[in-house]
Amino acid sequence: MSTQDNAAFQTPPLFSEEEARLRAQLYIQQRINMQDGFYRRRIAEFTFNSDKMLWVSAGLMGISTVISSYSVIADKAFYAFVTALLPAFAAAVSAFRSLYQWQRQATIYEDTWLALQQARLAMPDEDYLEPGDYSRYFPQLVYQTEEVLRREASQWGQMEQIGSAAGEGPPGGS
Amino acid sequence: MAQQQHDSRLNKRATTTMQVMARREEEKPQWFFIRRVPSRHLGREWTRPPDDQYARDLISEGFIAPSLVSGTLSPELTADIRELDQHLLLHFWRMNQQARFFQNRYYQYQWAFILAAFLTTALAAVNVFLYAQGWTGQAGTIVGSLQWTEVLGFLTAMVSGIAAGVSFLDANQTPQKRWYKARVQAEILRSTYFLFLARQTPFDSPNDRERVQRMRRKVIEVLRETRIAERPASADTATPAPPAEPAPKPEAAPETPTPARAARRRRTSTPPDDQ
Repeated sequence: MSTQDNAAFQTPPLFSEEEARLRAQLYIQQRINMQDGFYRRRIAEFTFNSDKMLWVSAGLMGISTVISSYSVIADKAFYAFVTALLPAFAAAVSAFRSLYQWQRQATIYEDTWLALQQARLAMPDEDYLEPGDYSRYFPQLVYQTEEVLRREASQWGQMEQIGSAAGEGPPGGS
Repeated sequence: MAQQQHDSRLNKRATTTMQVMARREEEKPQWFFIRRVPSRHLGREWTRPPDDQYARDLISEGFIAPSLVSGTLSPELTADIRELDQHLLLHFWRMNQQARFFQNRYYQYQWAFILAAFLTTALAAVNVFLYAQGWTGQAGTIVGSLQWTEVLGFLTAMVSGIAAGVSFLDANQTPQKRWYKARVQAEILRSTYFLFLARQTPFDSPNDRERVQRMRRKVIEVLRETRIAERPASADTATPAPPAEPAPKPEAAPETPTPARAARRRRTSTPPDDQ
């Protein structure tokens, strides 16, 4: 038995093994799996939008170039009209990209998702748990998971704090 | 190694329902202009729904409801859930609703800016186009002496006026700041909920009365705190202390916040979407 195991047995257990097991299962289901699913869905959505909008921007740029070149020789008002309209579309797409910041958000969520997977390791695989392991490892699981989630949440607070301290508007704002 | 029987005590029906709901969300179109369109009707205040709906809301928001467990809950867990429901969850739902409201308001304003900018350009381009096509004088008349170019000019002015109004509201209501603040408070309350259930510091007192008292104090502290982020990490009682047997830190755990990193993040992160 390791030194860590000895240290754990010196502290009184917070719960009975059965109670720790139930709470651990609820915690994994409602806290960890829920956050895990949330991050995975958002990563997929943000990556999708980031990729698609990049293609849309590139398409708009290409079409604008072709039409504006053609409007020079075509001498038709319609092409000049479309040439004026396409940059407005491109600007709108660009504004939405900077509003939602899909790629950056996806990267942040990926980092947090990985950290969450790391935190899961605090509890050994359920197939190999021994009697007493739930009450031994459950507190560590909660501690590490809450640390990961707290740090992710604290980023927004820091963001607001610095924006206010510098007398500037919040990022992405008008 | 002795293997332990690990049949889950969780209600399979409830967990399956959650999985189905998550799958349905995944199947929706991912385009932002379908999923993320700001809602027109989103209340600022939370009102408690009927009990059945409330239990479903609890589960879908990641909390514990008795229906999640097959059989009966232990008296200890029942008491903990009751105390949390009484002293913490009410405030969580309130802050959560505020976060959703201000997030929606923020996106309403931003969408209005973007669409107004686009429409102003588009209307001006159409106006010039009609003028170039000779839609003036008799040819450009809609009814009476009203000209197309006049209508388009009026519409352009209307759109610009709406954008100016929205800009004023955005500057004064600061919905993004309120969204961040409410979301941080809601997430701290959510974390407190699980720390209390797991009896982690500061809720590790063997005395139930003391534990509940600490939880109530913590809730008030979170609600009173107007500038949560300004508090040093060491002073934050929401930070759980390491358990008796500290496990190795995750290698990929987020880095410790520093001013430089915070400045970098300021440009790179926003809270999760609540919609």
